[in-house]
Amino acid sequence: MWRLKFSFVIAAVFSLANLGFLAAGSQRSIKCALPGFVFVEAPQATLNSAVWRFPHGSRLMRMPAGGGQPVMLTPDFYAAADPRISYSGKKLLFAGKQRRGGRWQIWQMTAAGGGQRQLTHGAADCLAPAWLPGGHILYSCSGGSIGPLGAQIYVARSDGSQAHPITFGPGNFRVEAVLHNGRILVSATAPLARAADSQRRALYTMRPDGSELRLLRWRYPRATNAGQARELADGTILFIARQPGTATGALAWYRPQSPQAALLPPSGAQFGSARLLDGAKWLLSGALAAHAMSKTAPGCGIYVYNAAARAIVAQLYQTSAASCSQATPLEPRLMPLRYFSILHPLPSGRVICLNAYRSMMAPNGRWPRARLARVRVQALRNGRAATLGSAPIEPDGSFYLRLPADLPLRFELLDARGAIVEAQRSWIWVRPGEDAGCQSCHGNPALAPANRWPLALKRRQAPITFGMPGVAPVKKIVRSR
Amino acid sequence: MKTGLQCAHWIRRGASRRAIWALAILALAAASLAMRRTRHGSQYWASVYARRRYFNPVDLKLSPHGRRLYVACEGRNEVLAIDTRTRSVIAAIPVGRHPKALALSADGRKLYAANSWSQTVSEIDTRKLQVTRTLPAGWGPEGMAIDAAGRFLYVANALGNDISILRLSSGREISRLSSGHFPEFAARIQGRPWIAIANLLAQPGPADQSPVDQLTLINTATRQVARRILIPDAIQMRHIAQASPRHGGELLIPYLQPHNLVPLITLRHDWYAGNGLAIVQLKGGRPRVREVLLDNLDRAYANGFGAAVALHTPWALITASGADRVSILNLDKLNHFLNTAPVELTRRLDAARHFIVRRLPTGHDPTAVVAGDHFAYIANRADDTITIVDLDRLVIAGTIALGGRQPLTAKRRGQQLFFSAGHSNYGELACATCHPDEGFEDGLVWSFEVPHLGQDIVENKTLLAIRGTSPFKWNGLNPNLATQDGPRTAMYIFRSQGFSPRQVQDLVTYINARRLPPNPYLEPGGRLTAEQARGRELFFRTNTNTGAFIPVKDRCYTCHAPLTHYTSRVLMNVGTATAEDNVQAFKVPSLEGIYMRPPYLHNGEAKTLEEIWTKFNPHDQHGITSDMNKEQLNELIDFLKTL
Repeated sequence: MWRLKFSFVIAAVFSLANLGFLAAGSQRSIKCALPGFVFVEAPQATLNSAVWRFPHGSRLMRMPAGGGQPVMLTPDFYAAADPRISYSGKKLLFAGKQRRGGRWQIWQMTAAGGGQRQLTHGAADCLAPAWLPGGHILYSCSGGSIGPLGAQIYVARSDGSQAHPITFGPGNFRVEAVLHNGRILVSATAPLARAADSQRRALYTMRPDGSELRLLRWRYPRATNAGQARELADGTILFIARQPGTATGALAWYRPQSPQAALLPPSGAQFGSARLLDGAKWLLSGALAAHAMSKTAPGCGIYVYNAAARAIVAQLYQTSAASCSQATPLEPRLMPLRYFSILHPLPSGRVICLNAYRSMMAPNGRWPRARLARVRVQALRNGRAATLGSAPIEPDGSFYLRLPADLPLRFELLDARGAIVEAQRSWIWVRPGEDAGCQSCHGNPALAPANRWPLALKRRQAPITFGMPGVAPVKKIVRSR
Repeated sequence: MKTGLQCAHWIRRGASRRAIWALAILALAAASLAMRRTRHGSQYWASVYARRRYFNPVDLKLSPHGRRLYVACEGRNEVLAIDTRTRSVIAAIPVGRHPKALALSADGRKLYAANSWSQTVSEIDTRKLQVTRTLPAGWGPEGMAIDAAGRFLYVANALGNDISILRLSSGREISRLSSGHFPEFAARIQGRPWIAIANLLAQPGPADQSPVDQLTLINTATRQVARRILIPDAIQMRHIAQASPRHGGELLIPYLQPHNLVPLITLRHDWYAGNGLAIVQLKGGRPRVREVLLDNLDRAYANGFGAAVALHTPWALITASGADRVSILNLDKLNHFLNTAPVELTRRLDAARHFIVRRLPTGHDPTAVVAGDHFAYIANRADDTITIVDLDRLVIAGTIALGGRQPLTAKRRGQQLFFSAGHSNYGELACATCHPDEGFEDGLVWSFEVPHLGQDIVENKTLLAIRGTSPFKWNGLNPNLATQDGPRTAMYIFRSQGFSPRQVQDLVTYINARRLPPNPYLEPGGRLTAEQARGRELFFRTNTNTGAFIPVKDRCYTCHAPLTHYTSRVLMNVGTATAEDNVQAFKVPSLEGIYMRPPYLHNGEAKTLEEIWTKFNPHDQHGITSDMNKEQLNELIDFLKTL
């Protein structure tokens, strides 16, 4: 505890020092032996339900290695944001809007700013690109032709061709990062959650083919939105915990061993993003004074954060005229493992639940066997929830279903009279040919499965099939060149 | 026909050995000639021979004052003595084949090495650093402990499934006790007259039930088995460490929690297997077993192996062979967690944060660990190093390189891949997770996603001596090892990127080099006993007891062809498919080393070889055996066990 207090004191000292910089007023930069980085400079950042946006004038700036004056990389754009450096450190993906009223699209350029090339050409706003191993990219698309489900994630080849969605539910999905083990980290809302939480953004992991969507953690800082997440070398997930309605927030992390997020000092600071410099240092963008970056930002800076000391150790850039965010080092990164998809071209996927009786909502964490009788499946079609059917729950709590692929689905556990005992609060989906497994519906996610041959499988029954006729095939919404 | 096949068997068993002997003699003659040409020929050839082999350190013992570290190197058949102050090797003592374990007398004067492939124990005088006696043991001695009085040595015989008790004064075996399945590790328990034996594998049981492993406790006063403590949902119990009395004196044993009955569709959250720690609390009259997971929510620490307690500190060290890490536990925190946590803590993935204080990197495949007052030492089997942990600061204090061949051979690279879980999603499993002990099998059936989810559950197969037995898998769908270890493993088991083509080749080289240990059922020189010889007659018989002609397709040797490792390498329907199977025919398994790998049949239904015919061959589809009497069946099995 005393270490934590000590680090708070150190951080506070640095904060005061940095506030001194801010008080000095106009733009200034500091030389140091760090790699060059690119960042977004904008008059302000605003929020909508899906992602935070940059209005007219947001631009990508490149700070040379060792410091100096930043150079603008996107002079021909109405707005630009979301820079993402390739694993080789030579190319940049970014989201750019060329004219007022146009759509955000995904662009590529060299790290020096040359060779700009548009990769997507759809009638939707495409943002937050990321690189995948194996010559693919992914990004979020919302608005326009995307439809009522909100922002979805798309995967395409690195030239923008063969774009296809990998998410299929309401939730305003946004790409956060590609993890070292090849999974992707996304943030999304849970639209069926209680009203106060319905727009809260949580972190999820999934495979790059859209299968196995899972909540990363289940204990969040109260009433916060998680975003701008990155993975550290030891598996820690670093993210910005924002209060509702703000574009910046506190620095927070999920340690690999802990289900609970922890906020990091300095307290009171409002950061827009955190990126990794190396294992021990991070690049933070934001303002050290509270409320400094809300709506009309009086100024912000880019800082080096020492993870061991848990304190800001240097300021690299500071401006009072605009907000600055998403500072990204221009250096090679470790390429994640490539994931081999095992999806099949089928119209359906299968779901095996091992034990529906286990639930954190039940007394003592387990429903009595007599309480649950069936599982009902609902699908979301044309903005309306429709029941696909129901199936019995086996005596050991298992059920095994075949369900239409790429359709928003949710499960409800029913008693013998058909009354809902427990209902899923968010929408999920199965991909074509996916075998999705869950231990229980609201069971303790920290539990490993019990070693038991599920009766639903052992009885050698085919999975109970729901809602297969009349399912419209998924259309590719984004046109490729 | 019969004579020809018997000749074939004779050739395999006899003539090939003679040819090998002849070649060996010729090679020796050539070598001696070459040696004469050099001044120090013998030393030269010995060093050449030694340089070509890796050390593969697997067990450690620290002298009572901590000044000397002894290392069992199964790769070189040596025990190394290391000066811990200079951190250098001071002696290499040749012992028997594949020394797997060490035991040190209380005064530190006598060191014992269990030679698992020689069926012996080497007694070493630690002052002279020489072998003084070679003691007999059972088959596959792999774990040892000396009683408190220093009079008896207890040897766990892995292949024999028993425990030899050797009187140290006479050097003779005075008793042999039955153990669990594959006993590999032994430790003396402080404060109790017990020797604890950890068994690697569960007793063969119903294939659709979770495995139960056994910790065998032997009373050193009566030299009888005192207790058999059952550990549910467990296999692969490894080294045994004991906490100090201040921390309760409990036993700490790393083990695997397999989830073999759950279809393998993901690796997230230990879906495939958990890496646990069994805590055997000895307070009171009845030992109590508690279990916790050592994994994290997003990262498994695969294949727990070594365990040690630093006596004057609260630290316990557990190595994870697949993760190349050592986890340091705070025993005070562990006890507090056990006393305050809710009942269901066995499968909790957020438990480790309550008592693990550090995860430190080691070399490849960390196995045994020993702890002194200020330093702990970890044997890294796959890179011939010893990692030193500073117990005061909980940091890596250095590494002792034992040497070994450089650059690494393909086989060595394959060995490192074999034991590493780094290629699987969440680091959850390595090849060695299911194939412990360098290619053996775990004795379980596993449920895979393909070809049918939750059905077609199949028994794990050994990787020992599988060269030339392709295709692989029970359904014969993998035409070769490269296919088996390549994309299919990546997609359906590791759920990750898997191995590169070069890595696959390295792995195949390593697996192809796996050999069976010496067969305990075979007489020296390959001779068969009278019963075994009669069993051989039955194996090659062409007529039943009543004189009826046995069609060629129903004879043993037709499918289990001697010249091709006792397998015809084709799919056959022998009437063993069940309602959970979607196919009727399965690949004929090799019979080599069959004695050491129960359960049997594709789904592991037969717990013994006898059950194959007494329970699962009602219609003589699996060979004509219904006419055999009990003696004949026993003789047939006696012969099969010699293969």
